[in-house]
Amino acid sequence: MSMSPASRRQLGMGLLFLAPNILGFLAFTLFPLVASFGMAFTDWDVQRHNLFRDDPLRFVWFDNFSLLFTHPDFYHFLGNTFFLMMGLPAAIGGSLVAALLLTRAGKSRLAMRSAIIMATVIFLLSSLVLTLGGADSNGLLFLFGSLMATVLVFGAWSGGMLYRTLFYLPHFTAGVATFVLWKKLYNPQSGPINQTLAPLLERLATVVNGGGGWVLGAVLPALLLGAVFVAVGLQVKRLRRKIRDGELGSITRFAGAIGVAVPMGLITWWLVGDSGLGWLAAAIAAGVMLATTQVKPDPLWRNRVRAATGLGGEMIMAMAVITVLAAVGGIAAVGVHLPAMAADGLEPPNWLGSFQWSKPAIMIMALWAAIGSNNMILYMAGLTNIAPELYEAADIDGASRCQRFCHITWPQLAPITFFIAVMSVIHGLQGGFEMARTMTAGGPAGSTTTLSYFIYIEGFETGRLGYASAVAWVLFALVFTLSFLNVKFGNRYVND
Amino acid sequence: MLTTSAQPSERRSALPLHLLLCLLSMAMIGPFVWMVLTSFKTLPEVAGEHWVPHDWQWRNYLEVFDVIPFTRFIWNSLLVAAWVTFLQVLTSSMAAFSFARLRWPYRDRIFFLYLGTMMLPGLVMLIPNYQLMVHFGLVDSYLGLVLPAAFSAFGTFLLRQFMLSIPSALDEAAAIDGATPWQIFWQVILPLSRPGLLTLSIFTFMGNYHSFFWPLVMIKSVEKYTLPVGLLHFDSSYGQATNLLMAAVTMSVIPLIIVFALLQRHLISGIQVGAVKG
Amino acid sequence: MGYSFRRKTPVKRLFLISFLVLVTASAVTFWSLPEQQSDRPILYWAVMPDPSKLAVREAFYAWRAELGFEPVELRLDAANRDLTKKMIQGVSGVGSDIVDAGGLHMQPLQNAGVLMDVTEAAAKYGATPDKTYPGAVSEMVFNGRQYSFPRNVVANALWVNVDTFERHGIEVPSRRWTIEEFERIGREFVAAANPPEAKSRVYFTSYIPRKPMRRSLGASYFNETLTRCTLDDPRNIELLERVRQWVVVDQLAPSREAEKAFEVDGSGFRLKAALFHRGNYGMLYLGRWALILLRELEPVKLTAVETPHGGFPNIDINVGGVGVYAGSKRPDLAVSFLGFLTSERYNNLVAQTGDSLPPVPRFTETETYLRPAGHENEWGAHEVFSESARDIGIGQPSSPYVLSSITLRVEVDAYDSMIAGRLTPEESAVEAAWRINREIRITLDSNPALKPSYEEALVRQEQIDALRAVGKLVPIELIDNPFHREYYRHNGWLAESPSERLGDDV
Repeated sequence: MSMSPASRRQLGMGLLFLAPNILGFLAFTLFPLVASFGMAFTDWDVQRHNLFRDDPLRFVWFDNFSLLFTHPDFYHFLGNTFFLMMGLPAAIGGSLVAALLLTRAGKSRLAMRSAIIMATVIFLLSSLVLTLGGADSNGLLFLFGSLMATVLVFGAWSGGMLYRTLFYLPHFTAGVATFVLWKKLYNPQSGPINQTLAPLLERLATVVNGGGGWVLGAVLPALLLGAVFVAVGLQVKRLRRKIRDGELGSITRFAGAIGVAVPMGLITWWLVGDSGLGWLAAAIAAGVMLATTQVKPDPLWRNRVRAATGLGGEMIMAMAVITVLAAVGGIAAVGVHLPAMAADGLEPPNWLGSFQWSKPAIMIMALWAAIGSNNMILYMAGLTNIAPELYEAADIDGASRCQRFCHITWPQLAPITFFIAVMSVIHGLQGGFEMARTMTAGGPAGSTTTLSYFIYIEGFETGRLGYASAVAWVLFALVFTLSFLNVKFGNRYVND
Repeated sequence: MLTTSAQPSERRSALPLHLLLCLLSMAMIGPFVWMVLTSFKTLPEVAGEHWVPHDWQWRNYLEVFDVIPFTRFIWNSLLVAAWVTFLQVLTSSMAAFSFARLRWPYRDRIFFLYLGTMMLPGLVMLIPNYQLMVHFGLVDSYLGLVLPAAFSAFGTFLLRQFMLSIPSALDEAAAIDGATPWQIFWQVILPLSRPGLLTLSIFTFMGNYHSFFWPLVMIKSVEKYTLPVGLLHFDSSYGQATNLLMAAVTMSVIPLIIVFALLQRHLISGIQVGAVKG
Repeated sequence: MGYSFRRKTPVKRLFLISFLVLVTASAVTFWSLPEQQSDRPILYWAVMPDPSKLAVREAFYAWRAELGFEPVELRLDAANRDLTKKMIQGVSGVGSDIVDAGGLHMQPLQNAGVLMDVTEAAAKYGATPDKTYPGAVSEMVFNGRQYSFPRNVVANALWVNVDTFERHGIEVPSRRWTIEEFERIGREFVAAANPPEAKSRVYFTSYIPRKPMRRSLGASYFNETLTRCTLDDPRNIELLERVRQWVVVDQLAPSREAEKAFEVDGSGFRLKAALFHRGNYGMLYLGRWALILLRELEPVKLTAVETPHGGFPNIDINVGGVGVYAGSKRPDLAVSFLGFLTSERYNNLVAQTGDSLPPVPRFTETETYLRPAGHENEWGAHEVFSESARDIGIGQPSSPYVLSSITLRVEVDAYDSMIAGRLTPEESAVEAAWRINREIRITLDSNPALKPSYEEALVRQEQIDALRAVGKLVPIELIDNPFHREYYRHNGWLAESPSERLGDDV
């Protein structure tokens, strides 16, 4: 294809600016990338193809891939990877909330006088608790009380700076140091988490066993479940209205339905138990949810609504609904089983050593790390870029705080949310390697092995890099598909 | 002209906000408090039940310097991270400019390719990369630590997004005045992308400061170890000197806190963009 | 706050300033690097860098000086506990001259050709397989060629805290005891040591050593020709059922989940030793190197016993082998290190620091080793380690058709699932065997070069099975598995029944 001199000049100029970056990119990224792609179809094994051993390299074509899909644990590891990503909406939301709070703090100054008064109050309170309760058990409370007091005073003095630094603190020890730190924290005997939880759980067990059980085991779960049902009902109603009004396309309808079907299925499964009956009940619940959202759009709209209208927004809504309802429903389900559990005595879980709790433990750590992280900084930068006139106009129109957020802040932040979502999906699917290597070695019986750690085991422990490359490219395909969907529908959401 | 500073209703609500922030920050720094307190304990006390040590072992901090050449390791980490940040910001901003502002054939397709390369797990590229380093004789050298990390698609992506949000009216005005793309880049776009550049700098610096696996396999001489590799010394086969390790980690965090505290003020004031809109 | 204001420093200047600062800093760094070149030849040793290695280095220099060899400089290159650094550097040509190839690292390193064949070179310095423990030979010699020499050998026996036993009025077990006695004494112990009002649980042992117990019953990981995984042997299933009983019901040892709390991040062992010292464990399953941890604490009366057996007494040993890099620039100097490991100076150093067993058994018969000054509370325990390593020690299970790291991980995962109640003992055993056999198939498929020896081994296996079926004696050349060689010798099933302990690879 011939290019006009003008476009050739443009190409040259474009490439010139690109040059420094792209040269490094070609050398250190593209070359290994292509090499690993080729290797995925061979039987490359560092134990047989290296300086010292010169076996011939064979092309095995798709053998590596079929080996992967017949691996007994592949779906387990895939499930682990997705499970760990469930915390993403909470993480992104958390960093947004943090950014919002910090930006507000930066704008509004607290008078030193009020700060000092409040600080003194807190300090006196904690000293009181200390002298009353005795040094040992309440030393911790006193410590945190004094810390709070100090932070309050310094925070008021420094404007937003102190809080911003404190919130970003988790990121300062990112990487191996964080994992080592949290491994110590999660130690069932000597780690502070269990040491704080144990007496609390003991007291809870005595309360439940001593007759308070019916409150916690029946009333509270019933209330929570009731709340869940109400929320689901509202969401279903909202979906049906939107579908009838032609605001949602067919694919979007499905996504929205998933958003209510999944939590209902999960909750039912937790309540009924991990058995054949549980699966059946969960499937029925999910099916009912899917069915209730199937309404016909108003004939006026039937031919005019594209399949993917409003998909971006609904997907986010679905993710949020799933996370929130699953969490609330989980608490309710635990509550129902509580009296039985308490009879044996409640103990804090073994966190990293327990098959069930290792993943939630990782997710808690990930949430902590994600709130005070790069995403928060990005949001802060984005928030300061929102033109103040928009807010002023909203104030003039008498908008409430909620409306300001939904109609100004959130849409203005859409490009950043989009960027963060794409990067989070990419990192989430690829992540877990350093964590598994440092903290759990893949977890009790493979419960914290994600696909990327699986690649490490297969590639570096056994030396079968051809196979590991094949797994990596399968992972790539997964990431690519999800990112593509994200980009396609997210972009539309960003733009409409 | 209306400012965004506190109106009376906002001033009244500052205290609850600060209290909330205070509480939340306690949750964020909780593990750190534990870490710092542990760094003052004796080894048997580490496994004990109390957060607060009975005897504050200040000498732990000095002992760290006896066990490992700590200052050297921090210096190495800082130097490598600084170089990587410098190179990355420079090359990524130029590349981002190319993708965001210049028009040239195949531009968007190549950008998508850039993006795609981020999606492959870095692990499988490790060995080919390593053998490339061996081929160039860069094993056990600072250059080998800096070069592979200095060219990243992530930086380009991030800066492109920032640059896209700058209205093109500015460069068009400059072009009409006869400015070359090079001048537009340096005089118009870059100054306006300050928040983006600063953000990328912070991200890259932090990320590289903590990189562990690549320095581990690249470096053989003790004098060139970066900090995460150096901290391995506390993890011997017979037991981990947790208190010393925590002391070392605490000390390693201090340079980062200083850097961040100095830079974060500039980060938040992205008022330049507002100037354009006004 | 205004809407626009000029920054004081334009971006270009910022870049320039940063660049200058960086260049200056780099210059300072390079100038301050110690001499890269040294007037002496440089050797690198890839090992965990703890203080004891520094003492070893000094001893190495002294040894070389004593024998009149030229001085060298030995640099320690921190390789942490996993294999990746050694492999990546090794296969790329920049490995360290002296390679720590102990335990699970030996097989992959040797397979990859990273280790030099030192059979002749080591013989020049006297570091031959017959100098060390017979049980260690299986991790040094492959296909008749030697690839390493141990720098220590760990015999995993059961340390006994005599004070704890006396406190609860239980008799200390005899040095060689059976599985039945283990069960009986164990139940007595936990009953006596855990009255209802006890606050913290006292366990009989820190760990139930199922690997040597399994071997003592006659089954192990692999069959005689290492072609098939035999973890689904009924004897193993029976053992697993008993172990489950001991751990879950009798609580003789902490469950695996509780044990995860002590998982090897380094601090795990220190914690275990502390608990043993305090009396929460009656016995501690660890090598002689537990002394390094125990000597930090107040002395208690210690002794040691072998692992309980079910007919065939044996002890599980780990070999800390050291090899030479195949791509080393000065192999002659590196091999001298292996010779150093046989020296009196080095072996006494190991004996004194308590870092497991010195590689040359001869030095465990000295006063320095048996009765270290200042540690009277330990006297009587040391010979248990050295003698059992010498007489009944068997190395780690290893088959050329599957990686030991995989074998180990599969077995541990299956065991964990059993203890957690997710699998029954039988399911756990069958699952482990199935997975390992699947790995063997995959290895053979991907590495056709192994097929001929595998076919030949299968033929031999049939011969062995045929001979055993009719009760005839089996010639030793048919058997590859070092465990089975000892087991057959013990039972008198070998054709030319040697009375001596089998040491060399035939």
